[in-house]
Amino acid sequence: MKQYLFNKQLSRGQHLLLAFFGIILLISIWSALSFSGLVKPLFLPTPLTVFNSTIRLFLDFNLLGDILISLYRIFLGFLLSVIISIPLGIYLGVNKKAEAFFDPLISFARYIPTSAFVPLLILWLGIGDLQKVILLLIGVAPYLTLLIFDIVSNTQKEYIEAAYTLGAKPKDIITKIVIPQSLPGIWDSMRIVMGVGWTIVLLAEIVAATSGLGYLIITSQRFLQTANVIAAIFIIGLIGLFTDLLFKFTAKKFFPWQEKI
Amino acid sequence: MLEIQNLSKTYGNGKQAKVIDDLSFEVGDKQFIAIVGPSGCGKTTLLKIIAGLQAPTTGDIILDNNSVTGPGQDRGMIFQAFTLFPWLTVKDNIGFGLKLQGVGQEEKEKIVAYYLQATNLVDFANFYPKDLSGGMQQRVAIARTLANNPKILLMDEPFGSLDSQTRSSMQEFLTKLWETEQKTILFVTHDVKEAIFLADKVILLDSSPTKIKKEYTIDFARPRVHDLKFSEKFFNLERTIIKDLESSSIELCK
Repeated sequence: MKQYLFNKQLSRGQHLLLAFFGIILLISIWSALSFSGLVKPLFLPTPLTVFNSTIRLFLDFNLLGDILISLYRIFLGFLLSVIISIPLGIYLGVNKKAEAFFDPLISFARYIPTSAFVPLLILWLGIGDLQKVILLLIGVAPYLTLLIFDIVSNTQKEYIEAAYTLGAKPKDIITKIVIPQSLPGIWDSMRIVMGVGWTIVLLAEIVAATSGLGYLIITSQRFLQTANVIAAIFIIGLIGLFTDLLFKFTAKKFFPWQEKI
Repeated sequence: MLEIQNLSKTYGNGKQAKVIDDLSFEVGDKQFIAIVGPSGCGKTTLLKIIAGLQAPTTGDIILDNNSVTGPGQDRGMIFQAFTLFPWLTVKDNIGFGLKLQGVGQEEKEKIVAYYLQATNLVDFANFYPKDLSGGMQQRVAIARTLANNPKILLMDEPFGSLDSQTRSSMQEFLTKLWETEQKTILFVTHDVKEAIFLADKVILLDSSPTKIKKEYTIDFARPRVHDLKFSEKFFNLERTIIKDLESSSIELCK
């Protein structure tokens, strides 16, 4: 029966050890390819070069400033998306008429690649922060709304019925059953769309910007500074990893009642 | 008093399925009535209609001269599925209905404390449902409903998902609780033994569509204890009811 236990819990130590080996493997393959000269440094610099470039970018080229400006754009666009999507998603989940009205609009918006909006938004808003924030909003809000809608409409019927027999009114069902039950799922959806947010802001910065990590990537590429490009990619990865952990950690704190998955 | 008057329930529009047909009976105050019947005979539907969670096709439900038109806290319901709100602690689950009614904090805490005591859950007041066993969860569910002080308790196979040992201890727990609380209870089960052990009266339903087949008065003295289940009188009664039940199950198969 052992082979069927594919979702068996790992101990914390086992988990960390495996995660560590994954990272070591990646660095080993990279080192083998670059140090051996199998791949030219122009295409793949060694880990050491990338490390040195990262330090130099921090010290001499204000990398922190680029990181902060990208983070600022993401934060603003993400916040705006959350402010719109959470109430809208919940509303759609509990109101069949609203669902019928908004569903085609949102599905339509969701299937248009966000990148298609870049030229239009440059035309309308220029290449400043606002253009990036709005692009992120266009890319993230419909997606997040649909995720939240789905979570809310899957509220367990048993809880709703039990609440009614305990004297709840329809508005209590929304505030005291639907929302509390949906919160962990909403939190997790926010974690998922955070990754989408990064993609969108980076895309916007690569296409047209005067600052930010995407801008750093595209200018470094123009000057064939491949190590800088890889450094920027790594930093994005690390920030992503950190936000993901933050979301997971806070979920445990906010929703101690959840069953462990 | 709860009166069920000429109740019928039909599902579907085109091809109709009549689940309940012209069902009438009464549940007197402080009576413990058990309903048994073959599975799929609309017992849950009946309770949900009384609770106001579903509308009858025809007929009326009248509780103390008031017609039932929707769900309300005067009819508490215990479900077979575990329905504790997982995001609330045991204490807050029990206080859920009181909070809805706007009962003051002090009064609420007093009532919650009383039911924690009555259900032997004092030590678990701050636990979340995920950390409780099935039997404990159902005890909390019963406490949560009783804290609301309903006129009648509707129980839909509340011990159906429990193992047989827990089930039997829950039955004893419920009789004790009922003897002190003196609530009107309408208890649906497919377990004849459980029905006889708990109830003052057992109503046997016939299936498809549901109507009353027979009624049995159960006059065992209270307080009732587990040993009662091994007495000859109990066994004979059980055999009679099971025979009647099986004859309707066989008819269903035809």
